[in-house]
Amino acid sequence: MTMPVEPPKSGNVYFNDPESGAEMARLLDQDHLITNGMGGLFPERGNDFSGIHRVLDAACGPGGWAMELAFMHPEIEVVGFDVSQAMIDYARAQARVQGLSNASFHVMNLLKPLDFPDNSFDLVNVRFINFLPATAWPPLTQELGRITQRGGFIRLTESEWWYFTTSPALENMNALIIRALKIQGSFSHTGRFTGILPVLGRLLLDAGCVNIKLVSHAIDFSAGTDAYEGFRRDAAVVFKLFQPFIIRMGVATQEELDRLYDQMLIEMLQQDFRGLMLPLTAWGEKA
Amino acid sequence: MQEPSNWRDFLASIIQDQQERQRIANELGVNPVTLTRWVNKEATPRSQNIHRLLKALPQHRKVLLELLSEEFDGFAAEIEEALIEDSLQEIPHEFYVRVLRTRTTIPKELRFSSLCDLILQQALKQLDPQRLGMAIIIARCMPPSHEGKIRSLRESLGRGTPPWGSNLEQHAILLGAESLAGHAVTSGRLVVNQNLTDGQGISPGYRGLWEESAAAAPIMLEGNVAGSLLVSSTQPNFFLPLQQTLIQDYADLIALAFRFEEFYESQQIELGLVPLQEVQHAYLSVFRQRLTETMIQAARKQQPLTVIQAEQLIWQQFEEDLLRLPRHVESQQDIATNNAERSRT
Repeated sequence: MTMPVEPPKSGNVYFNDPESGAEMARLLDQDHLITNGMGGLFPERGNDFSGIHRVLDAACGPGGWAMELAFMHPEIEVVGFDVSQAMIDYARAQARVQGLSNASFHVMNLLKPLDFPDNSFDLVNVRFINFLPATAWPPLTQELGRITQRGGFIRLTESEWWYFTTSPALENMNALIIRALKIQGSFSHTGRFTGILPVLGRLLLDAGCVNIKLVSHAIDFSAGTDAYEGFRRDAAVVFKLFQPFIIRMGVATQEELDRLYDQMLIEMLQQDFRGLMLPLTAWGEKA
Repeated sequence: MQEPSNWRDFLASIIQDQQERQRIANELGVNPVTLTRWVNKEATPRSQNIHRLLKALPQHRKVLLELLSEEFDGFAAEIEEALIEDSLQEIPHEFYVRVLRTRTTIPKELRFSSLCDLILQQALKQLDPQRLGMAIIIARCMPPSHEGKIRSLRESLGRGTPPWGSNLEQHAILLGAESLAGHAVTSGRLVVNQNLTDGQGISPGYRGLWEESAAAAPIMLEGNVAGSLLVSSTQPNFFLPLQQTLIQDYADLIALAFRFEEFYESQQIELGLVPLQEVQHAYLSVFRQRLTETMIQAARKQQPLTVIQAEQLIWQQFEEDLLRLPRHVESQQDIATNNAERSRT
């Protein structure tokens, strides 16, 4: 999803320009890379969508996961929402050219009560919103619980920012972003991690879920792997577009970032570059 | 399997497999018995269901189309109409807005890659909504040689649906006068090879892996050219007039990603013949090693290069080497020797 830059009280503000197609293209790429890397749309259930008729992709960005599901399962009605009108316009246009009549997209802010009736969905999917301040999570997951059918599923997937690699410059860039997120109010007490992973299960429990399971995935994007080129490009875009946010939070200067960024690009090109993403999915059944 | 005499017999052979019968029925939203009734000539499908049947059996699309045309007059035209209904005939206006907005705000380092990525993703979804298999590649003119001539194109960004990978950059090669992409640049117009299997196409071009038909449109500004947009399909005869128009529209949009000075006058275009893909891949196997070495050396000399600048430099070295080679003959020893020499310099 598009990323707010300041605490929720400021409303619809972003890390970078929400109208930017660069971020949309990146998010679509990322959706594809990660869905493939994790083994499908709902790998924790063997990609089995039986009994699931209506699905919500919350904070869907340009709608990559939602459209993939709509394409693979024309019998399922898929709904996506995001706070950015531009993202939603784009998702709608993409769905239209693909003839995905079972996918619809809405503008909605996940920091506010969601405009869906109780028990609306059999599956609610949320991925990669670990930029949200810690205080925003409990009301959000409560809302997700409200709109999920009894017996339906809530699925939260997150990863530590931005993955693990052998590039020192990339590690330093990560550290700067994590510190900036800490200033914004992350779960971390130290600013060394975003701190979201250990609390995912608890959030589901508080949202009224039972049978909560945690499933970790490993995506290798080392040099020479199929995923390498996509992740390399993702890093080149994300660490450029997020620079204004890092500077605004006062954790680095533009000169420092420029130096680190160039060094990161070189280090990711090395033949011996190794990279690993370890997404964690917490999913539970609504009691 | 024996050659089917009509589409009903062909379908009968497919639905002998009960699971496949059920799958097709599900995709069409009909009872499996309905399929059997079609096969037994007890019923005839409505045009909507014929269309869905083609979608449900993409691997048999070509044969089915031919057989269906024998039974239904005007079927091909009808299908073309149905295909047009499936995808929009024009690039959605929201998308033009997005590209233009992005162009005005994007950091310059990301301008080419992000704009092209955005456009290629959209093009792929619109041109291949059923994911029958497509690759879309931007082939951009290499910088002019010492004589001021453009001698080859470089595949710089590519996207695909299976059987191609989603990212095609890691298999990038140079293309010359022998290629369809090169022909589009030289002629300044969209060119198509509708059937690469029979080798009867009027345009140059060789058949790549999985490729049954291909089209290429020039990327132009004010009559000058910066490269071409190459689209390959797993389906023969894929590029109907609608698709051709869309490909040119997307090529025109991609022109926005290039800088003014990257468009070359037609007198400058003198493409050479580059070696076959396999020979190039042997050369390019050391690309990244050379790239990092070049950047490190440049930094040591206090003349740092960006990744984009270093890539360009290495591609130019490769171009120089490859254009000197005979198109078909190159031993591993020659390649190793050339690469070693380049590493030393």
